[in-house]
Amino acid sequence: MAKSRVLLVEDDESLGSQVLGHLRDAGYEADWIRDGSEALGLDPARYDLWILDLMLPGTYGLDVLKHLRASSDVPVLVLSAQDDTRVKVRALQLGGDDYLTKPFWPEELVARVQARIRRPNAVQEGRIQVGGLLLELDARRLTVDGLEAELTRVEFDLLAALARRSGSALARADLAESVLDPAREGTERTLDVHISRLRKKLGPYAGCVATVWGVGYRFDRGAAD
Amino acid sequence: MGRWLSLRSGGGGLSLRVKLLLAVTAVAVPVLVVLLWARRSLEYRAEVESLHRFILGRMEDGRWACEESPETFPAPPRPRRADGPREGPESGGRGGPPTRGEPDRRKPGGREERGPRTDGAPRGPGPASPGRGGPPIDLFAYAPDFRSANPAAPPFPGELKDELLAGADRADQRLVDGDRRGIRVAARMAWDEGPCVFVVATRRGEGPGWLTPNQLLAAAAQALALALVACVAAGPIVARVRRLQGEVRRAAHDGYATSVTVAGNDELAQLAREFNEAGAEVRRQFRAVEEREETLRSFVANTTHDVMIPMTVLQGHLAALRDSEGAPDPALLHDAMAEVQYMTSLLRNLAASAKLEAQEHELERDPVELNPLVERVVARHAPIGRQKGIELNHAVPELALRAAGDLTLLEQAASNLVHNAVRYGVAGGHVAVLLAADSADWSLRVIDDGPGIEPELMRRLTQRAARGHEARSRHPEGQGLGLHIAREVARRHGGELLLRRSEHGGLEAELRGPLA
Repeated sequence: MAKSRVLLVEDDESLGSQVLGHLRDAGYEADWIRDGSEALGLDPARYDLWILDLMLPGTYGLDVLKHLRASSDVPVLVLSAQDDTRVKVRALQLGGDDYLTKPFWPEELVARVQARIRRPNAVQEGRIQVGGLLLELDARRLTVDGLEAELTRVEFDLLAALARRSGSALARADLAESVLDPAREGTERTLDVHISRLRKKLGPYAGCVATVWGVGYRFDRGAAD
Repeated sequence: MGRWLSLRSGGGGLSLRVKLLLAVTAVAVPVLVVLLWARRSLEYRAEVESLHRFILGRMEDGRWACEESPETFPAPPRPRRADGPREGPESGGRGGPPTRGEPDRRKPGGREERGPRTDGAPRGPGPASPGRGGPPIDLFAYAPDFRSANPAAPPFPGELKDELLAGADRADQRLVDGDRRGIRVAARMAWDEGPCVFVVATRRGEGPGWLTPNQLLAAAAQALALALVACVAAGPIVARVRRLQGEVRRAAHDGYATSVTVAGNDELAQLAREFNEAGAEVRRQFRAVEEREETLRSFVANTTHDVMIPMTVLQGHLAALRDSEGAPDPALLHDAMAEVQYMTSLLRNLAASAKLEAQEHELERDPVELNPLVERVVARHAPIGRQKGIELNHAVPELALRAAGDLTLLEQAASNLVHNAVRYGVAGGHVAVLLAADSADWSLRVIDDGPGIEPELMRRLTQRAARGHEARSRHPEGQGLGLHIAREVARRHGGELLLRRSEHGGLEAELRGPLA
């Protein structure tokens, strides 16, 4: 898989070099330009994500964003030094995808970048495949290491809901509401029972359905590897 | 008057008394002129009436005499003396028939005496000029063609003729021709044939209805007297204004700490009262400004203090890290990071606090996407949580939730709840952040299994309307400022902050507000 390319537009030398280091450490191919007007001449499509500081010399960051949005919908993460609602709201209105207020932790930055250029889930034509797990949404069929597993309706729906948003935790209440029929399968309290039955049927991939403290459950792709 | 003039309203103004004097004069003179004019008009009308009656009275008896010998009328019909009738024109020079037998009262030009008659003239001039020995009256009769048979008669006055032709029974005019001033009345008789259909009576001289120099002088004297009286009467008012002026100056000098004397209930007292009220308002605003300044001063002092402590701790940690050999102590690293996080949070809260106080009434209302907001807040605290060994989980619904409000404030409120949970959690602990829709509200719950807070403190944190500067000390209520701001932000967005003991033994803080 080719490295994602990130463009950093930041005028501050120390902050710029630091951010650049973090991005490269995180496995991104990163370029850095210091002047906003320089950014106006770049081909936006060369990058998978832009990190744009709003306070740039020469040109205002929002102008760069406006210019960029006229021709491209590449994700833009805005860096803002000021805790100014107006500027942030304006940045989002102009098509900024997210923003990060200084100061921020390097991990925080990387997490925001990852969230923006995360590869689309392996949901293709109704199929989710993780290791030896194959979930066919339309056929409502689960295959574990080549063997079809017998899932109840609730178990299948639970797994499908979690797998569709793999990596994100789903709240118990949300899961119960979208999956359980209160008249037949009870409420939130019976969720754990369904989950533990589901895990048993997942066999070696039981760890893919992780319990998240205080929240609910999450489908972890990593646990399948 | 010098003292009076000293009461000026700034440079070059007139004193109150001078203004009063001028005002009284300006009012009194026209009023007096109007009064004089009215009086003159009334007198003139009365004189016209009188002359008219005189004519009617004279002609009632004198018609036959007139028609019999119009060329000599108004000579007496039956002259007392034989030489009478022809005497007038020759002796008078000014024409006009002799009218009376009494030589001493007879005037040239056919004059008639007015007033009591001795020649048996049937009627006096009438009640309009009772007993007044006025100047003599000329009387001439005219035919319907306005010609007089009497050669002494002057031509019929044109304006009067027009009026009579227009149908009037009577016409009058004022004669203003130099020394020949007087009043003239022309009357139509009850008959319309013969040489005596129209009769013109003229009284010469400054009769009633004329303004004399004496009258004008008297009027001027009256106006002057009035002005002086007004001037004197203004004395007490001027004195009170001067006193008020002095008191106002003193009050302004001592910062409106003293009030001015309010005596009575008139306009001046009202002015004094209103000045006192204005002074009280000025004092109130002074106090507010001073309070604000004091708040700002202590705010800056406390902030400096609050930032200096973590700075010092951070310096110590950095020094220790510099001196440590081999791998840095994770606990030390965590502490250093926590101090930085604390400082950041503190400064953001101070900014939020300032914003909340500045925008007491008006809050920015933009659509705020809550799902990414929660993710930003969690991402901000994940590094410190990881460092501390605290599991920080979160979930947002698949549906995008949106609030209307101030993005920065809402994010700071959420951040405060998460920051507190992470900051006061212990290694191995958990924090869960849950965003959910709850009917028409959004709900952000931050649940931890940390030490929680005492019920008493929880109640105080929830109930106390703590001011920012009261709630911001690090210990023992370090959560104060953050929770205070979270609650205030929720309130200003039409929501609330709820604190309760979590089912895991720690604290559960819930921020709620209406969905956009």
